[in-house]
Amino acid sequence: MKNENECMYNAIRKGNLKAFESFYLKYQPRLFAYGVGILNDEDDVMDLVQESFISFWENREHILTDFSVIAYLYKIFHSKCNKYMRMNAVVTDFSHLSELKIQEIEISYYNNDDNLLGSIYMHDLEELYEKSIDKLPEQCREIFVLNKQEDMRSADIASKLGISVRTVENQIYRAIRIVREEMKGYALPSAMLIMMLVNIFK
Amino acid sequence: MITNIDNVLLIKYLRKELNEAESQRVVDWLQAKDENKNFLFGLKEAYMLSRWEELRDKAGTVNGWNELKQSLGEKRPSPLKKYLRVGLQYAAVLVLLFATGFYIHNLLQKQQPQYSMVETASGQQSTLTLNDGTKVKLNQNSKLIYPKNFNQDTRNVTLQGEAYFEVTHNAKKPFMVNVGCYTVKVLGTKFDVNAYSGDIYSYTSLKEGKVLIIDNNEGHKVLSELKPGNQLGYNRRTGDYSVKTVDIDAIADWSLNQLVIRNEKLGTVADMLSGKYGYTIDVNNCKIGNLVYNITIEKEPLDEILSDIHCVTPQVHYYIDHEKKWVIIK
Repeated sequence: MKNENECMYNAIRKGNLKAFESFYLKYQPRLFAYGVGILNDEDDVMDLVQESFISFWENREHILTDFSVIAYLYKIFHSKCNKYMRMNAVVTDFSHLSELKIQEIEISYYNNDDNLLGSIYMHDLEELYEKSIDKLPEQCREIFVLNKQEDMRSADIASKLGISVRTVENQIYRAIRIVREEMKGYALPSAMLIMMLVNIFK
Repeated sequence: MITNIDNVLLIKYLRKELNEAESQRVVDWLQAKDENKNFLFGLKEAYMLSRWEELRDKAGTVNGWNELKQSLGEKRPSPLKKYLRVGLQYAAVLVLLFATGFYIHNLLQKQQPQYSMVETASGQQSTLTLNDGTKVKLNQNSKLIYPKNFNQDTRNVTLQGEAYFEVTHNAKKPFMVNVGCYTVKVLGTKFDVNAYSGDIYSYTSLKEGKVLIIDNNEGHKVLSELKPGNQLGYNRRTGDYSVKTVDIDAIADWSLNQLVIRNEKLGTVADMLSGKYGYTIDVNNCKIGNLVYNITIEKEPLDEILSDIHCVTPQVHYYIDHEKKWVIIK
């Protein structure tokens, strides 16, 4: 696995477009998902991601082996985001400064290698996603699927499952407490609960 | 242990529904403890994972790759070729003029335009005054090609990168800045053009006077007319553009306020930062005194510069006290 990656990075460094293509196909959606998490405008994120890959390719001879390659891509992206945010801060009034501040804190958090490399963005998201859905307790999964795939509100879910909205909410708050405990160890399956909760609140 | 905070705020944060006051509460909470950051951003990661299917589909990866490949495939004209091509265009015009007998032969010899080029490296800036009195300040990583004498009907220059122009008024000879996808046409004004070839967006911001933005494709139609304080953002990928009102002084600020540090040792860097930000900066470790830095600072806060320094040289640590305006580097 590691060797395979190293081969890919070596090829990229030498200007192999095919290798860059597989790198792009793998990391473009992740970087996009990551960017959408931080910034608000999805179209702008798309452009920033694209610019980052262009810069990455233009500076390919500077890349080193192994995981630092991805960190390098993310750092390019961070600097593009910072520039974009500064541009935005100039054009908007002062009503969004705190929102910008959160984005800034978030970017500098992930600019730290330890935080970045420990994050889910460094894992195989496809696999994690499947696994975490499988690991949900049955009722949770049911709620999750209803909520996600059929876009049901918590009230509708409650009536469909024959429980009260109040019960749904109580479970939600209990789950938040559990999740808080488990998040310390990055327990992703339980973290899935939180997303479900988030969806239910709409 | 993380500090307490209203769960609703966290959920609103994940869903990007915080208002300004709520955002401020989240900021305060995040800054209170590192554990809080670990918790919230961990939560956010889980949340983003739950949106993975949706976002993966939205990312338009295959299209994105095709576009990227295309833009890489288009060989960017090398500066020399561009220079030659522009030169050839002028030569053709001159030949035509010659053939129709507008100028006598020896006058023509003098009028053949000669081009000069100024190019700046990273962290470098350059100021020049063109033959017509126009002042140009070139930002880093930029390139300007201009004729030595403006003896054409228009004053044409070509720019890659960013520059701030103060154009001498001459209603008879418009000043044209070609940035590749469009041309900025002016009579006499102050404006900033930001058009780096690697960036998808390029910007033109007007300080005084009036400029026209002319498309280089599709029959050179006028895309927009800017008024003072306007900024045109142009997406090179799609050709879309829009005009916003901006704080032009903040945008052209780089031309006044940039601090460029080149190949300086940490001690000198500390002195320069101290001068710029008005903080007392002590370097308390002779082992790191010999590290050498290249930094270009525009408007970044001191924290960001220090964290960048820590990022490129992790052995350098810092402590900052904003109240006492005091920094310790060790």
